[in-house]
Amino acid sequence: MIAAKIDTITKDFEVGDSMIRVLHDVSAEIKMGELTMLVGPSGCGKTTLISIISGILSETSGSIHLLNKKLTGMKDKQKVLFRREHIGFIFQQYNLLPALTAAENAAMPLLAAGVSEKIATDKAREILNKIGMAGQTEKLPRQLSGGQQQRVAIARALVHNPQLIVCDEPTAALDAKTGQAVMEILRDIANDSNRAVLIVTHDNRIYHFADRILDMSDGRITGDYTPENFTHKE
Amino acid sequence: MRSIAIKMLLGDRAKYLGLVFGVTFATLLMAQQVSIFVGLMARTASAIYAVSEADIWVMDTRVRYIEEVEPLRDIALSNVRSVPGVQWAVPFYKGLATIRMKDGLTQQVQLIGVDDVSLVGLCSKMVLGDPLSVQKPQQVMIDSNGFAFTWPKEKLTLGKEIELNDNRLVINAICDANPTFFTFPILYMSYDTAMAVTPPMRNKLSFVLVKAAPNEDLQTLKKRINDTTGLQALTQHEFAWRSINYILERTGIPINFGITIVLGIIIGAAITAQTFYIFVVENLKQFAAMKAVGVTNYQLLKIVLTQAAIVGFTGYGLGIGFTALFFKVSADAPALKGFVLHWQVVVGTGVVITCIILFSILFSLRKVFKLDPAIVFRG
Repeated sequence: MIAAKIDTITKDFEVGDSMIRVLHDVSAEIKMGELTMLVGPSGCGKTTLISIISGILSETSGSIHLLNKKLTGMKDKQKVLFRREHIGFIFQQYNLLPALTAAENAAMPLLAAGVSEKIATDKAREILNKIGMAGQTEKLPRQLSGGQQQRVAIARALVHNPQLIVCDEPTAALDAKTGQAVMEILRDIANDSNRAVLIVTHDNRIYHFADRILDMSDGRITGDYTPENFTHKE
Repeated sequence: MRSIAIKMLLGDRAKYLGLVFGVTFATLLMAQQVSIFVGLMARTASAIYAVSEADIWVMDTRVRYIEEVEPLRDIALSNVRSVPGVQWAVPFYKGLATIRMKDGLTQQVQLIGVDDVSLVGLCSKMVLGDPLSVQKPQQVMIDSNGFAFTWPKEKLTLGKEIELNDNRLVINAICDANPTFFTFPILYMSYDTAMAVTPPMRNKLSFVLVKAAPNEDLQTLKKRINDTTGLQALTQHEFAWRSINYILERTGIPINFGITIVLGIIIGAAITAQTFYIFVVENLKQFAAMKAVGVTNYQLLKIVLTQAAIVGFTGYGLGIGFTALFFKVSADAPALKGFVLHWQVVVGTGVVITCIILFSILFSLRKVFKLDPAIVFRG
């Protein structure tokens, strides 16, 4: 089953008086039950592409279908509601609210959806416990290590049971051991056939966790590899 | 989401206190300065309202406010008494004089001379002595603030002797009078005593105080007095407002207070707006992350409004509290006597503070609404 179908997407940015094209007719498919990595050098358009896939940015041309819904042409508010329901995000810098506990941070998507605070935080605690954060749920982000904060971000991405998890450099701020532990959690999540995980990364130490690796260069997808093929190619 | 808004706000104590300080400062400055201004204006009229028995004040047509006395001929009193609808009319003397104490020091005072028999216009809130003592020759009453001003460090006592224009006077009563615009001590005496101790002049009568006959319309009676005597007759309320308006129009006091109040609003608004703006800007990445995970602009609006409301209520409450405390503590200070925090000032300050808060969050909200959640992907 296809989670995301990207069809000849282009994206232009206005810089001063001129337009710069950062994505050139990008086409790809992200499948359910797979962990797909999007790799490539800085400035090749990876972040722009995942921003478009997740409905945060709009494409200049082309179309995108997400979970059998046409994202192209959706109004901004519809996109926000779609994201809230179907997409989970994990950011490089975690982006946790410093004044909220781990459970409250993880509960954010449910709270945004109008779920009561008690139900939302109970659900968040349940997820946090599952990913090895038992006993840490009432701590503030500053009381947690980088790895623990990223686990809170993972719990936040999972709490509303989304079908697509979008991760931006989830291991970039972590040491190797913690990064591996985080990736093991994401790998487990991707094994669910009703869920797709899309990861943008530079970290070649985690490539082996992927089912597929999409290689990007200069705003184009230049290859679709398995981890083994990609390692040989490198 | 309300609890999240509160936690976000209280999470950064320093910024929260900075915001509250801004609002408290603006509230305190506005409420206190406006109250003092209102108090000062009320003092202008206090000498008029103190004469509660009189319905109408009759004076020379050139008089523009209570402290400006244009003496009338003695016949004016009889003329007024002859006007139909006047139940009674009594003379009232008001002037400035210099007294000399036993130690030779001098002090400027306000003289009030009231009708010898009825004592209309005499201060009635007694502290020491008998008010009827002023009916006796050479005996006078002084206000308690004036006593403390004239004889600092001395307890209020009766029997003090003073000299006024070579006349010996004895203070045999002390009252608690509302301070007037000029803060000189107020010396009350009978009209006859006032005539005796003030320099001889052709005309000395300052005002004629009139009580209207029962069921007599004041405006009609006022006009009748004007037409009959050629003098200016004003109701108590009209004369009070004429005096207040004179101070407002002819002195720099309103401008001075106005500048302080406007500065309070500007500084308070600047502190509040800047701190709120910085607070929001520093949380932009958090707001962006919230937007990315599905928090709508409307929900963010509610978060920011909740935070603004908490800051507003706390700061406003503290500001009004401090103002009330200031007036409570300074209630016995002669310079601030009679100054109170009026409910109208409380409400008015609340409206202005609400405007400051809304103005402050306007720019911040624009930033939040236009925020591109894609910034969360930029490292």
